[in-house]
Amino acid sequence: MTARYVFEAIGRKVLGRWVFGFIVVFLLYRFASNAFTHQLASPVLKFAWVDLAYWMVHLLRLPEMITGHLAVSIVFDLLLFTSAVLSAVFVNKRIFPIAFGVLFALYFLTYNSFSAHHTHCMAGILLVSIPFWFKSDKSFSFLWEGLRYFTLWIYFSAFLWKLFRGALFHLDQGYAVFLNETANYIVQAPDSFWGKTYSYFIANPDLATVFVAAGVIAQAAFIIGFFTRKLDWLWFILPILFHTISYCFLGVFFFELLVLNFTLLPPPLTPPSVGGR
Amino acid sequence: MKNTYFHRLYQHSKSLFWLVAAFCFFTLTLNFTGDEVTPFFVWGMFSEKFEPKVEQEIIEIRIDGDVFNYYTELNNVNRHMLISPIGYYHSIIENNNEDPTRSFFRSKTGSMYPKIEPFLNQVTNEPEIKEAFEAWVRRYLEHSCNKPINTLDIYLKTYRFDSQGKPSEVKAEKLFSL
Repeated sequence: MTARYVFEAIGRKVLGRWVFGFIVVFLLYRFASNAFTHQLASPVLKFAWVDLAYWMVHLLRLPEMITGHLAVSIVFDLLLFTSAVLSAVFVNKRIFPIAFGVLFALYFLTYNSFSAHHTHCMAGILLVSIPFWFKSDKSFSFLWEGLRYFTLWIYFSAFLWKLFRGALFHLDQGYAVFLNETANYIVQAPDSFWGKTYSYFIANPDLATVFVAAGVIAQAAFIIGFFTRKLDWLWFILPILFHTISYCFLGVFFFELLVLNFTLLPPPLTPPSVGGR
Repeated sequence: MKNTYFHRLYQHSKSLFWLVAAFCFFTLTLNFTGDEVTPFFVWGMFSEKFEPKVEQEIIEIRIDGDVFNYYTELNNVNRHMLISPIGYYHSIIENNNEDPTRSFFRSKTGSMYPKIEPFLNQVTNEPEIKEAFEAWVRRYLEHSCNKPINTLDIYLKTYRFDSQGKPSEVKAEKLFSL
């Protein structure tokens, strides 16, 4: 029994370069966003809510230790960034993806707690290194295939949540969400291109409803991916469109999640005789 | 059946199978309960019913007397790190200076609350955090703007949107000044 595709060492290497290269770019973006731990200026307000992972790190005082001392936070950030770079360069040296995975989990929990919002945008980066922790190419391939299902689940479960909580049948949902998310921008920059665009959408609420409805229908379609890989190109494109539109119209920055799109690409340099269809 | 992912995975490695199965089990269970424990994520963003509110609350920041436009001056991640904690700080003030996480657990755990309170104290914010937080806003803003700040005023303003999407201020509440 094999995974749908079995990555051999060279295929895994090419994939690792792309994945960790993507991660390095987004870490640089976070650095430019003053979001590395040494740039957080020793934050004090924490937000663990009911998530036990946040409880655990705060009970161990790890976020406080990392951000509370400039020297510690600089060392932490250097280790995080270096582990990502080394993971991209030495893909088959498993110590680097493992180190990156552990450090990024700490970063994920620290940033989300001190930003007082448990954002999911970094969830893809949190999980994508895990297959690279395994030595066997078959184990890697199985976990990579599993990550593809997880990617489909993200969008399909987002649809299920809107279905079961009733938002799907709530005609004012699009307009209400749109007004809620863009009000701040309109107030701050009313005469800018986006300020005028948002005002136009508020004046024409049916447009916002159509946009959100189209997005929800697209999310529902992801269930097809559980049964066939033939439309993977579509599941690759849709999240890019989805997050670009969300960013432009709702100010929701989820581009980091696109690292999971790599699971939807056909594996590089894999002999067609190995693995499935 | 033999071609399913889980069957093939089980044939390959039983330990890996149980690892993946446990991940799926916790993800599905927590989705049913509506709670989230990282990394078992719940993707329910924008799924609750929103009613259109023509009045919206906006955080306004004034640096040295001038309005600081954090939408044009800061990128998304930087802005989120600044504005979201101010929103949570406001929710603490609104909740009689008690961290809403504590209130939530008190209402949900009943007589069990005293047992978890010592742990809760370590993962939530004390009322005395106020001054330290306000100083942090100044520090982080100075770092983000790369300039010293002499005076800082944070307001929570309420705007009413007309049918053309034009906002007009109806209320202003000062959250704090430094």
